Amino acid sequence: MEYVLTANSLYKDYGKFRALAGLSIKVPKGAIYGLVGKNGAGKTTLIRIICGLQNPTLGDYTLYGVEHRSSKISKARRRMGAVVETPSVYLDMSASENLKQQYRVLGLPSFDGIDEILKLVGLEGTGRKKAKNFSLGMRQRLGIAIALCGSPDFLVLDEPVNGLDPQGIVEIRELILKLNREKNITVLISSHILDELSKLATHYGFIDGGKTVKEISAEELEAACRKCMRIEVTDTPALARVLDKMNAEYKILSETEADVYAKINITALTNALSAENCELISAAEKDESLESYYISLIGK
Amino acid sequence: MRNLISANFNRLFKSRLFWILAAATLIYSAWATYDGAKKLVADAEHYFSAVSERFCFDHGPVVLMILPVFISLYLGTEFSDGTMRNKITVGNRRGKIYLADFLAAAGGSLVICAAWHIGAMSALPVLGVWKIGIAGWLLSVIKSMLFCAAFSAVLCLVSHIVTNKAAVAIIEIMLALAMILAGSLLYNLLMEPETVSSGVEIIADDDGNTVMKPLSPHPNADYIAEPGRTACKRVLNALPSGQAILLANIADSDDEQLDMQAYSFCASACIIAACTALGAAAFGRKDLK
Repeated sequence: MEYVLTANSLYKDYGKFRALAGLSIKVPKGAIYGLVGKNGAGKTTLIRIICGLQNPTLGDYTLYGVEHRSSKISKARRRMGAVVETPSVYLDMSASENLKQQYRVLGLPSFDGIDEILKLVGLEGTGRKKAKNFSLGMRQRLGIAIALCGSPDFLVLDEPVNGLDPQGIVEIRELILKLNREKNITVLISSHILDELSKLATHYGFIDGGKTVKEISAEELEAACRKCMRIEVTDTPALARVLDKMNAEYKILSETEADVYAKINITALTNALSAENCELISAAEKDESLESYYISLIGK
Repeated sequence: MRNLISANFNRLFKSRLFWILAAATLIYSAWATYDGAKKLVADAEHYFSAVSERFCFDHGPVVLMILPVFISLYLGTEFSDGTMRNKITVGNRRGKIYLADFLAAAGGSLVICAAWHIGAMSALPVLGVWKIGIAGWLLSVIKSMLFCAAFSAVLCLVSHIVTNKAAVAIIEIMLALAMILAGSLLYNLLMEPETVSSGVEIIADDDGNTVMKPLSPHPNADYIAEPGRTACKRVLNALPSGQAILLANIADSDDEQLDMQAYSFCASACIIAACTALGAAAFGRKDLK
């Protein structure tokens, strides 16, 4: 598999505080890689390092196979765009002036393509309105538009839906999916909103305490997040005997609760439990989400 | 590098703040110079000693107070708006970013400096052309441009080390004040005469009339003797604020020549080189957010 970004045992210390403690990730080409972790887990620090804003204390990373200490890293960075934390836009300039400014920074020979980028992010009608008068969602989209100047094929987005309203969240999600599917841009995205991330990501990297806890593809996650039935009874040993007879996989949670990982007939179960002098109090289908998977993984 | 310079100058020339400061400098310089010259002409006693350069270079310290406002806000925007990230993320080397920032800041400072000199020409219709001649005037203008560029290099260094826009504005204005104060103190110390007369004594002459007889001069305790004097002169001529003060007093004839023109030129060039090298190195290692 071809990787756009690989990070190997990255460490980052701020004085006595260790923000990254041997973090390693691999972002496959063409993926939407979701970086999942609580506040202070090291997501933004990792992104800052990848973007060249900070240097790792120890460890290394490669961009398109170019090691970060190599002189060729500048050329590799030309292929990436990023929005780190807040959108980086000149507030006293319009959307189009902001893009022209980035075109100049990149040394692009003409301003062709600016209208297309503005249309892509839905800011084509903003005219001479200055960025300081934009809504948060518009600024976020302008930040992404700037990151798209120079046609990058790797986009790094740090909390892109933070502070957005539901409509804004949907718009950014659709934009990211469009960029990934239509322009084949690899996206590394960090987000707290796990439900939102689960609608986008093809790969996940779970990080905690500055370390990678697990890297997993969306398919593997789906397989891991099995559907189950949460059953409440008066006597779980009796339930265990019945489920054993039915060859059903289960997990006893307490004296009255258990999760059953099989499709079972409720009538048959009720009758069998009745024969064991056990009452079925409730049964509810439970779909393990990215959130519950994350919590079970991090353990907090 | 050319891309960064082009982007920086484009932003500079679109900056409303920059043009407001340049226009304010021009208007203030023109008004203050013309007003000062006119008042002097009205005062017939001093009229014959009045020369244009007495007012033309008067406002150097004021320009040095305007530069921190301009540079802290112009460069501070890159950090407060986060746009510095856009330059680094796409692979521009920090050394080149720093140099491009300095060139734009120095360019803007030179425009403000030029506005000062253009405004100061308002003394010419009142007092006539400079006694120092066109060449002398040009040399003084070049000197002022150099100390403005040197001060810009110092401010650029501070702007890339302290990245908080509000903090950097305060620090740079305080720095300018401190430098002007230090320059003034040094200048005043160096202007102290070697000996002073403490007054007159009233005595009666042979005819019994009372007359005033000056007391014999005695050494001035505030006078800085060698080798400290040379050191102070060098510091005064090296400091951008010191050069501005010396230029403001260009018309004051003094027995001792405090001004060290060639040394000042070299000092400004050295400040630019040292601050740029130091700033680029510090910025290269700085963790940015």
